[in-house]
Amino acid sequence: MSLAYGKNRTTQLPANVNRILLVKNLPFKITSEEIYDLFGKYGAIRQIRTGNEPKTRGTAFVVYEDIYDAKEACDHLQGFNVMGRYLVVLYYQ
Amino acid sequence: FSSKQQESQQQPSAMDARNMYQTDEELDALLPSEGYIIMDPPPSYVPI
Repeated sequence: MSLAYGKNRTTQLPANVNRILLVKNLPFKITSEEIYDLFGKYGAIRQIRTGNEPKTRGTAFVVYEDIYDAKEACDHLQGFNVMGRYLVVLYYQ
Repeated sequence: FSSKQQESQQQPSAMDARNMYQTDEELDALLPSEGYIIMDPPPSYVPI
């Protein structure tokens, strides 16, 4: 059953809010189960891209199907502690 | 004729435009593919 806890889906969101989240400071060995579980709680995920090169390792793009879910995730996961690292979550411009 | 019905007949709002489905090609155009891989969802993943 979906966790649609009283989501307000009509308000106008600021222009910088976006369905694509750029996530930094991810643990290098995070698995797809963990990342889908962590971000999937906030809504259906359209796609996830993770960095696989030294300069992109530890960052990922998480694309949500719905912009309100992306906002929920960004608000809640900002500074979230994953395996000892604090996540940085930004709207991708 | 409650306002709820009226509301749903309005033309799509700006928010709907920002929530339109994006194809893989559109995502490829938006996101870097160099240095990144598309992660396959785990078999256990169920979108809510």
